[in-house]
Amino acid sequence: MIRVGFEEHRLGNGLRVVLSRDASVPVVAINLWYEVGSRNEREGRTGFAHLFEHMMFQGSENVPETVHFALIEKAGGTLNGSTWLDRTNYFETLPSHYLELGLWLEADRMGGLLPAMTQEKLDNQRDVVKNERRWRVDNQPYGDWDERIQAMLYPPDHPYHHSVIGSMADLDSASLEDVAEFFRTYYAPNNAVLTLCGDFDPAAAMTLVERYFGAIPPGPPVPSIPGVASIPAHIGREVRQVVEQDLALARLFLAYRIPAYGMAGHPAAVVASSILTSGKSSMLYRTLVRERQLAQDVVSYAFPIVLGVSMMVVWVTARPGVADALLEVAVLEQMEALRRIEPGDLERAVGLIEAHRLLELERMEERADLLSLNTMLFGDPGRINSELDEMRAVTAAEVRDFAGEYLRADNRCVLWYLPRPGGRK
Amino acid sequence: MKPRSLTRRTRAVPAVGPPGPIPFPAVTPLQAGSLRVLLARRRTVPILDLHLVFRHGATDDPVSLAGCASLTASALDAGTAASSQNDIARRLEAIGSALATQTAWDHSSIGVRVLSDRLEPALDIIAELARHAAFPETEFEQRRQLRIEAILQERKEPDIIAGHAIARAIFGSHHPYGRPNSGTHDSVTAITRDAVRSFHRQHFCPARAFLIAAGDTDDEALERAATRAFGEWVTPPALETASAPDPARIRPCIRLVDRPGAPQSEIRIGAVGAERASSDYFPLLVLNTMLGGSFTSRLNARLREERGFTYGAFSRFAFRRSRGPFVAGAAVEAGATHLAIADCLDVIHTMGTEIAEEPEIDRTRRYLSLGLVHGLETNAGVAARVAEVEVHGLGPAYYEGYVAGIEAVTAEQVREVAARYLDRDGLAYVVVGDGAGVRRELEGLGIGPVEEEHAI
Repeated sequence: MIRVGFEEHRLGNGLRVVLSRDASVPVVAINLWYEVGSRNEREGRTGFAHLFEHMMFQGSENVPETVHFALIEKAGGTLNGSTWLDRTNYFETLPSHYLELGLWLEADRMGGLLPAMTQEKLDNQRDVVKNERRWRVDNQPYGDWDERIQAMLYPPDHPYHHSVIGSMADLDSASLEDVAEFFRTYYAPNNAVLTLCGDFDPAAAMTLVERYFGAIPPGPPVPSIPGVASIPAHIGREVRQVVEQDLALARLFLAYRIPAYGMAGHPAAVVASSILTSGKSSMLYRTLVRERQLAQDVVSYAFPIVLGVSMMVVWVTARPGVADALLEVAVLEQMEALRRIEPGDLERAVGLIEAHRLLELERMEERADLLSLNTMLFGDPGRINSELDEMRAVTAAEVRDFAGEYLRADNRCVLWYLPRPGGRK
Repeated sequence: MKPRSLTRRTRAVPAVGPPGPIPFPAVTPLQAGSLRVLLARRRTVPILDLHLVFRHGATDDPVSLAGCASLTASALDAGTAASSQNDIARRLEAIGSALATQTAWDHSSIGVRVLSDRLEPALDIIAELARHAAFPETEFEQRRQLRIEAILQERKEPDIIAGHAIARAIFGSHHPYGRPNSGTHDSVTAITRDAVRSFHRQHFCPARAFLIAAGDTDDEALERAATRAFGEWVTPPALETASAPDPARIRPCIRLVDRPGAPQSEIRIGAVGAERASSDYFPLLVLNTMLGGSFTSRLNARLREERGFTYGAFSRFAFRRSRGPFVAGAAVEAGATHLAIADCLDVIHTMGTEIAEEPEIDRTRRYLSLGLVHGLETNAGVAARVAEVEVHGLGPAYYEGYVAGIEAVTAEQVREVAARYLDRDGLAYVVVGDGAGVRRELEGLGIGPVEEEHAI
């Protein structure tokens, strides 16, 4: 197993900095997390954190429009950003001699985005994001599953109730003043973690970080997350929904409230998910796809989200001609079987979790993101190494208890996508 | 709110030092019986990526059995004489791995990724599947059915529909490249267990294969383990690799696959491209990057950043052993379908008539040459590069000349290949979207008739 080494720093303005040197390949990954995500969006402004993320690439005080991308490409770099429920991240991987360019670009937009913001850019990126929504959600089979699941699992005033992409109507309402307010509130060094991973000299890198980020003043205290994050650990009833679309195959989504990422009960959920669907001898694949031939594919995921209560989603695509009631019973039977697993079932599942983590750690970009994650969410970059110890320590009894406690009818959302009779709408 | 202080921030783009050398790995050729072995040793992580690569691919599908190569590769783990499919799954998971199979047009592979101390069991599994796959009736039939059902599902996915349709539009359905790599509903329905067993016998043999190991092992250990697993693998020489014929001329028309009410249209513009060994390779790489192969590319800049029609536009040349497709496209809001096509044609036309300015070409060359390092960051990336060089016979010193090849490309060369490959008369068009909403405006583009097709 790889143990990732690192050192931590903090600038006077509150910026947390994590440096992890690995000179194997002459690249450096720069990763910046801001502690703002869809959970921070107020009502009527869903999708705004993501729209704002787009605006961060439209130039800043010393960087004209489109030049951000051009500079990185000219340096032979790759770059992107993403928005999630708990955070927004920005990252680039550059040939190592271009470290200073990457830091300069990130600092210029952290400190000086607003002078470059225009209505025209906002209107343009709004159109882009609306097309992103059409592409990911509206024009894809099963495309709005996460939006529906979140709305079923979380009450309307919960920060996780709405989807990251947001609604078309709310995107239309976003204004330039919203952009400015959002920037001043959340895009501040005291609300950020900067991680460097790869081929660089830590002392020289810190000098550059100080030079570019040191002058950025801290922002005001970040407001509390809107809405009510504290909810019961169980939904209290089964919630059901059926959606008809132009599909070839029906698909069943199950979702359960589970302990939040970082809480004591969460590792058991991750292990349970691996037992259920990781690999071809996993519980659901072996029984539903191979033995009983009811399913085309099976997937499960315990969401790494930290606010109060997380969710575990299981989805199963039905084969043609399989009655949905039959498939649902079969899936639930297997979920029940989790209450009877033995220690031997765990080893394989944990081995696959480790293999996946090993795959992630091979790339500097992923390594840097995991360091930022553990620093921001848990104040502990070393958790990049210790998290696997937590997984290995999960016992069969804990998985059985987890299944009994959370994977039950009164804590369950059931979302069916069914082929519309006669095809098209 | 008090404005942020701007005075101390550095204004200019920082200067840069010189680049270091690009870390192309040394590749050591070894032998395991009659099987060629290539080791790219890397000690960055204690992991090994192992791929058994075959010099056959979807191009070798028997006529009317499109998807045969792919189905054969993906059914190797359906069972062997000694092991059931569940045995195989358990053994793979016991070494913390899963089987990765791939069928491309010119090659296929099966591989695993393991901690380096599991070299021997990993090679044993790969060897057993490659040599002794039995395609047991029940399990094979299930795999075939799952593939057919996956195809049914793909008929509802607009980007996949568009990809199949543009390939067919460029090459015609009688050309290997005009058929989906994983087959159609009809072709996979026609594939029998005997056809797969026959394909396996003819194509999965050491004379047409090589083993790549990228990662943490040494010559001796690898040669020993590979000889143990493959040393006795001797089968008659296989068929020669099929090559694809020259495609027929493309008929000017817009092929429309109707998806009533679709909020977006998937648009594709295609042409016949170049083969991997072509002397136009480097100019075409530069052309493609400028046209639609990067975020700042002209298609993306026009359709996304200028017009806001799409989340992203792209283009790519598929350099296969024979001349593969060129495809450009985007998912655009339905109302802008005809405008987006007109924009694409305008951008393509300009690339073929006007010489690009040096800053754009310079940025593109640097993106391609400096950016090579990303493909060398992981074992998998290195293995892919080694496979490409070997499959296409590019020679062991290929990458030493790569950067020079990129840097030698001139603006005039880019214009010339754009004009030659992307001539308006040689273009194919596909739209997957709401026919009622877009048909009239598509007819108004003056490209040709709008012909309706179905997803295959």
